[in-house]
Amino acid sequence: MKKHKKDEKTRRRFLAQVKYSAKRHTPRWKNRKKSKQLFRQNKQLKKRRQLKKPYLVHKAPTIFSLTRNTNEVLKYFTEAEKFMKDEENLIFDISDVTELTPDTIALLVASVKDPDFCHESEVRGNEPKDPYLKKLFSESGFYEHVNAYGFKKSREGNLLHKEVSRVVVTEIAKEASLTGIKNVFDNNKPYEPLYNTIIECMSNTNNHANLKHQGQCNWWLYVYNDPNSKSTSYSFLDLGVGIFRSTVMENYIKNLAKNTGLYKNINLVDDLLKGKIQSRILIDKEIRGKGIPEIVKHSKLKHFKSFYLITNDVKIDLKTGEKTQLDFSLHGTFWYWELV
Amino acid sequence: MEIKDKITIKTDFSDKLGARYRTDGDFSGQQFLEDLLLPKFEKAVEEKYLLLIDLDGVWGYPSSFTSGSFGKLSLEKGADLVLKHLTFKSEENAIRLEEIVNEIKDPKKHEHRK
Repeated sequence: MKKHKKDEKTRRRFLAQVKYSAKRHTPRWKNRKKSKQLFRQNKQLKKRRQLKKPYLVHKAPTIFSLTRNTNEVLKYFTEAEKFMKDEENLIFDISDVTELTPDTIALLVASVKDPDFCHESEVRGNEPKDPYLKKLFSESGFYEHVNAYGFKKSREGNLLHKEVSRVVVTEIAKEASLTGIKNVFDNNKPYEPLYNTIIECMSNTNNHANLKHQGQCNWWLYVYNDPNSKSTSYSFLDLGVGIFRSTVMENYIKNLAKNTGLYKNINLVDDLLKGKIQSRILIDKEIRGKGIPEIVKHSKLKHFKSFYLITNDVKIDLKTGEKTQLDFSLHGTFWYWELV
Repeated sequence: MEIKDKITIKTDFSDKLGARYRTDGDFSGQQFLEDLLLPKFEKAVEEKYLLLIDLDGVWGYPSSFTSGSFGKLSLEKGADLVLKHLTFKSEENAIRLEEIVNEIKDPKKHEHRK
């Protein structure tokens, strides 16, 4: 009985091998293999050709701060993407910047690590000449995410995290909270509005960043403890489609106007902040849409300073409620606040 | 009614609460509702007793977690029944407790509470 079973197994394996061998000799199989090989070769060739191309120096604006000089910085990144789309290799030249803020470091690293931003081009960069800014840049943790000569570790207390598994990560939210709380309040006690804000930012990314597949977008979180002032800045961003491109209005007329381009994104800000516009997810519509209003509520607290949201072509100062129409778009969503 | 059962969120679930759905990541409102809250709540209703929820020792209660757990329970079972069988304790933060009770009373989306 046992021998019979073994023979049967051997016979089946033999038949499978014969079938596979026959399949490998069909023209269809051979053509597919050949085309795959050709594709790989072409890709390698293109890469080699791209490496030989000269690098274009792309000079950053002297005030390299996304929150303070939003239009100029967004213009810089828009132009950079355009160059790389045209297959130019690029040097991000930040040597002459006179002002550099942590929010822009987060945008820079997220951009240069994004294949959709860099296309097939090669990217290089340098550091600010200013000693203080150079230190700020090299200790940010930027070099832990790119290939660089001489490994430079981030300063203790700074946290630059890239999430690739693309979900809400409670462990990181706790670590980021603790980093700021220790620096600002000198204790380890939870500060609920901070933790809740980070979770809602992550959740927002998971639900709004990708139009086709929920959760498929990387996000970055940069927590920077300022050694000069007892404050901690938080930069949270994703390079997805942005909130306005991912949302639908509750009101049919407004929705129609939005889709036809008659209604500008800036006109939707009040509805967005009140949770009146929501993502394309269809389930639980009646109870969803509370995340952004919660962030807005927390932004008014005295321990939060300079609270900004930049998404698509709109910048919102959540502290004051001031909204600005931008000349250049951010393809994604950027949150920035300071804990004081 | 007498308190006969208890959920201490920090020890029975997690001190780091997540967002709304399981697909969002670990320790979501949906996970808390389906794995812990709903079975205990249904038992409390069936055997007519109070279930105590200890809210302390947690890093925060994101609105999507609260809505995905307590809000969803209220939507499915009715606010009156939920408040009849759940009682809350929070020595650390009275506002947190009030917000969760408000979520149960009115789980549907509205302009944010003052």
